Amino acid sequence: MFKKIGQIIIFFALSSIVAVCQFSFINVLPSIWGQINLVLVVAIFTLFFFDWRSALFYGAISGFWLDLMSFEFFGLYLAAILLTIIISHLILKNLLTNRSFYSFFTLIIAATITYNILLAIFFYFSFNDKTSSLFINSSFYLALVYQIVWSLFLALALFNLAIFLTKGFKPFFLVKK
Amino acid sequence: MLKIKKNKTPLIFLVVFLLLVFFHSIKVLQPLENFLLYLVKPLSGKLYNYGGEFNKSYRARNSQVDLNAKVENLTNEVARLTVLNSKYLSLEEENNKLRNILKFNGENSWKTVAVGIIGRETLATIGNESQDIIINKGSRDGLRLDLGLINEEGVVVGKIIDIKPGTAKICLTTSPGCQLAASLQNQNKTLGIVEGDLGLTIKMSYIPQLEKININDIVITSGLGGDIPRGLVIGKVQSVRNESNEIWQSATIEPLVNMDNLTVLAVIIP
Repeated sequence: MFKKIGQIIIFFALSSIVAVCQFSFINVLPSIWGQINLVLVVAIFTLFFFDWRSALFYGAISGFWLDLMSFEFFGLYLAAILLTIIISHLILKNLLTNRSFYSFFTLIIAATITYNILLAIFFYFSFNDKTSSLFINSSFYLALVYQIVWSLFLALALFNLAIFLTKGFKPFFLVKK
Repeated sequence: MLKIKKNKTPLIFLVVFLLLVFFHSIKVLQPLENFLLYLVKPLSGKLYNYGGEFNKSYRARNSQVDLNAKVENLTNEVARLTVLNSKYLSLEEENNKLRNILKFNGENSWKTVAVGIIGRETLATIGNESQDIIINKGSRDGLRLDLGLINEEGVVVGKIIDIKPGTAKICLTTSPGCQLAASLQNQNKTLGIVEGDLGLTIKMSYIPQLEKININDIVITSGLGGDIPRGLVIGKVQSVRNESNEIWQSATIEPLVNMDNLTVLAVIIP
């Protein structure tokens, strides 16, 4: 029982640290580097390599921290990340046939697009800002491309780390029989 | 049976989400939120500083090409400012003597509260040029909306646009939508509103055509509105857009502070 409690505390602490790093460190980096979405990549990593319940727990904790530190409408980040995890889980379960690097890549791209579209919609309909046009903004798409590229780099690093540590997943290139 | 149990997971999280939002809106969670923010502020501040250092070294590496030209310009600027400074010092001395003679007690005095930056709000505004920063003090520390924020040299960098008990959100002067009441230090002391432009510069619009504006005119806060005292430097005029067929002219103002390199800040409480 104590081991379980210890695991929960460590999980909570790690999820919180990822959220705080995103808000206080990554957001400060120069424009291209600042597009890294560490919170999302770790959420999809958790979904892919563990289970979706763990991913939802992680999403709830990190989303709560982002909402706590942010001045946007409370629940904005929490809703976006939880919905992204649910949609990603459905994609993983119904569309992707195996757990290879290609699947992980595809899931990262789908999740990044979903997350940013959800955030843009929630942000647009929140009380704060109705001055900017929803999606009719070239900088939105450019930032989205940067975020996808960075997410894929991070995903590559995390995937190789997971393979190195666990040796339990399919290799990078699928071998044809 | 097992399938039904598994499908309950999203419902459980939906209920938790709704409860969190509800309890937050009725402020039941506020003591916990304040405690969690209090715990995390030191770590956020340190992470922000590391990010700022990385930012500084990245930009320094990329701008080495222009360094010589910049050094020359700055040397000339320092010489010009030294001359001006000596003139102002004499004027200040004269002013003080006259005030003493007249026993004039009209000097403005305001309080400053030192603050640290703990984050930058960009994630929800992907592609948006707004640069809002979060500071580690809030309404509990005596801050309120629309108060101005200055750096260590006394240059205005932004104002408070949202506030919580332990933190506050600042819009930087270069953020679109961040407006300040300003005045030009020209012959006519032209009044106007300055607003951030594309996250890079500041724009002063709706200036009557008859007003004479020169490049390098200093822009200061006008004090109108009452929350930000008069006389704080915002920037200097970089260019003027003056079309004869238009009613108004506009000026682009260069901020005197690098907004990516903010460290020591203070909120002014009049």
